[in-house]
Amino acid sequence: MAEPCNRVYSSYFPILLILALGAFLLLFHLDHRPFWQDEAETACLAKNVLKYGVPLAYDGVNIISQEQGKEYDQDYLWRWSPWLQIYVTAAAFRLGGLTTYAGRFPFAVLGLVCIFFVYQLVRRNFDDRTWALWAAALLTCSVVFLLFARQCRYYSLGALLTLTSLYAFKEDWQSKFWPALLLCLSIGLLFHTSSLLFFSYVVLAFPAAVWLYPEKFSLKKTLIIIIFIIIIIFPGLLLFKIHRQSTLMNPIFVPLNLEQYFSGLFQYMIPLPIALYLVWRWRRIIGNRSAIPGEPGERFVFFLMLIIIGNLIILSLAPQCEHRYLVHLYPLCSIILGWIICQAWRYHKISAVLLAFLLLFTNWLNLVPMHWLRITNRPMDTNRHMLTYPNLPLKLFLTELFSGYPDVNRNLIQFFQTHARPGDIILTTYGDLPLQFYTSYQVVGGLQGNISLARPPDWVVPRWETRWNRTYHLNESEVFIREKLSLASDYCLINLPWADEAFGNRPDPYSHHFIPVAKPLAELVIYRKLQLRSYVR
Amino acid sequence: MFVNSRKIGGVLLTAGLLVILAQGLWQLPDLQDYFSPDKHWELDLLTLNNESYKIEDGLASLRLRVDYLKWFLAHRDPAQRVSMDWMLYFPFSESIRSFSPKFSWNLNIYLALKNQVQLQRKLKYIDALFKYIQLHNKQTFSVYRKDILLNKDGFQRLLIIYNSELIKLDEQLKELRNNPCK
Repeated sequence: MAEPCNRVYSSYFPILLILALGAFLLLFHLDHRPFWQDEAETACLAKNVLKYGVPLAYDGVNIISQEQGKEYDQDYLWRWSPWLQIYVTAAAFRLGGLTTYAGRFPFAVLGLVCIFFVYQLVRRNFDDRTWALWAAALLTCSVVFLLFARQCRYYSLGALLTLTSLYAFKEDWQSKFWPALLLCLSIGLLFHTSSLLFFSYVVLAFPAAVWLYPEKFSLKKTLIIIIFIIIIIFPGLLLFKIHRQSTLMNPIFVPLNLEQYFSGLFQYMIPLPIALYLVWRWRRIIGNRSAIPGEPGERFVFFLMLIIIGNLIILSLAPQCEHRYLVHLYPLCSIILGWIICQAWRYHKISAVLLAFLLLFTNWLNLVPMHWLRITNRPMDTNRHMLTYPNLPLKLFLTELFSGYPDVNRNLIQFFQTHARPGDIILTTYGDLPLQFYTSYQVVGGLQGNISLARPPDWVVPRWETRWNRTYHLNESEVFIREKLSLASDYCLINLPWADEAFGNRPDPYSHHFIPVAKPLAELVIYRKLQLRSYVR
Repeated sequence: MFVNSRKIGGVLLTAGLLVILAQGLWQLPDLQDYFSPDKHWELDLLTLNNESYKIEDGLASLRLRVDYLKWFLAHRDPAQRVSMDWMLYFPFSESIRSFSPKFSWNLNIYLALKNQVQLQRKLKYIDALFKYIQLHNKQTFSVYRKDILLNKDGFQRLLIIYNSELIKLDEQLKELRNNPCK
């Protein structure tokens, strides 16, 4: 008979192995590419938190804005998005210094905690270690999740809070204090992570929970929980300009957004054949409550599927449609897929092995059937070494980590660190925020909106990709360069041998480049101001 | 009977997964590059072809919307009945036009601008891709357009036509925006 400590060891060894792999994939070379525009927004605001105590959009030199100054009022206090991610980053900067690694570290660690919570959620509630291990392994090998969790943004935080809310919900929150507290905090803090995630998650998850688990809801306790959640989110409702963002909504885009979200779901999260199998399996449930799966595991999987679909529906109402808004659903998808592998094993072992291989190491089950049906969503500027094509995602991911990537933002940062002088003004049409974070110069343009300068900029970076604002008018920085500056006569052109990619380390699977192309389509150009001339017309 | 159907189901499932496995391997870029080093040029040409079709579709829909906006402006009397012709193309806009003309107008302007921006992006991209292929690919350039084989000059002419058409529509759209529906 095995010793108790050996049993514990053997019982925890597989998850420890998965967590070790997850830690490597999440933390190795975390700073191999600098922050891209969105990450730099969080990092710049966190830098200002360290300076002023609150996230100010102005530090006396630079303005932080990607919405033409709509994010703040006259006091420059950031009101566009919740502050939790900013304070997490600020705490990391306080402890680790103003570095890329420090900025991304807490979120990568939260990504690792997500992997553990996926395991724990399944193991504790359904007593199925195999399912729990498969779910954790699938999340660990999900390159899209890894890319997002390695960002200095709220994505892994949102995913963790989604998971902890489900974990607390499955506990006895009606009679025990700690699960009730965890439930309140998870949902309340989800709002302070991203109000969009909060609404997309809660609006349909709550009725789905009531429908599937009516025994868990007593009116009194539920009301108490709701009141506590409202108390947590109330300051945020007053502080953040959610109402201003809601004016950007347009019902005409709902069908298009839905199409995009569902194609993202099938292409990167739950393969279309598996989704169709689940629809077929649960086909009798519509209009027939007694057909709801009775087995707790399957019922929970059905609940998760409803949450995912509900999220997609609510998210389609929001003005911007980006895959990043689905990141908090990745752990839920890994639980569903883990359950599918276990079902397949019970049905036919060889198929289960094949299925597990396809899901863990390839994206073929996601893309090949969509390719057959000609419904693959593949933007024109993608290449074959991206997740939009059949690939081995982990191989791409590791290639990037070990071989490095000539990041467009890093090239620009290094150029200005070497060539610009103190007090120089840089005007760029995009990528202003990484330059603001990593250099000490005044950086204007980007998506900041109106440009008013005391003197013409010393450097101009007209990026290859033309940028329009949300109303499809040319951005002010583009207009300024075209109408107010005479680049040909007043500036000296510098051609750089580096690719002018649109974003840099953007994690969205249709944008992320793992391997640089041998010969780029467009190369960076920079204009340097000629001396002793008048420049502004 | 049950055992048999389970066996058959299992075999079918395995077969399906094997087909996906084989297809995935076949489409794997590393293997494609190994067996056919010029594969990426083929795909670039295919992108040019596909995107040029999309540009044609985009231009057609932008043209239609601009025509609709012109018609809208000419028939802005609230008593104007719903046009069944336009209802076919823009059912939502046309059905709300008489109730909320301003919203309908702004929505159509917005959608036209969106369409125009998408076309500009696409044109810029395929123009750059075309130049890139010309510069780096020494093999024969050929793109099939509606069963007609286009060489470099033919494709260049096609891009010029698209650009001039887009400029024309852009001017018409500017005029419409300067003459808003009250």
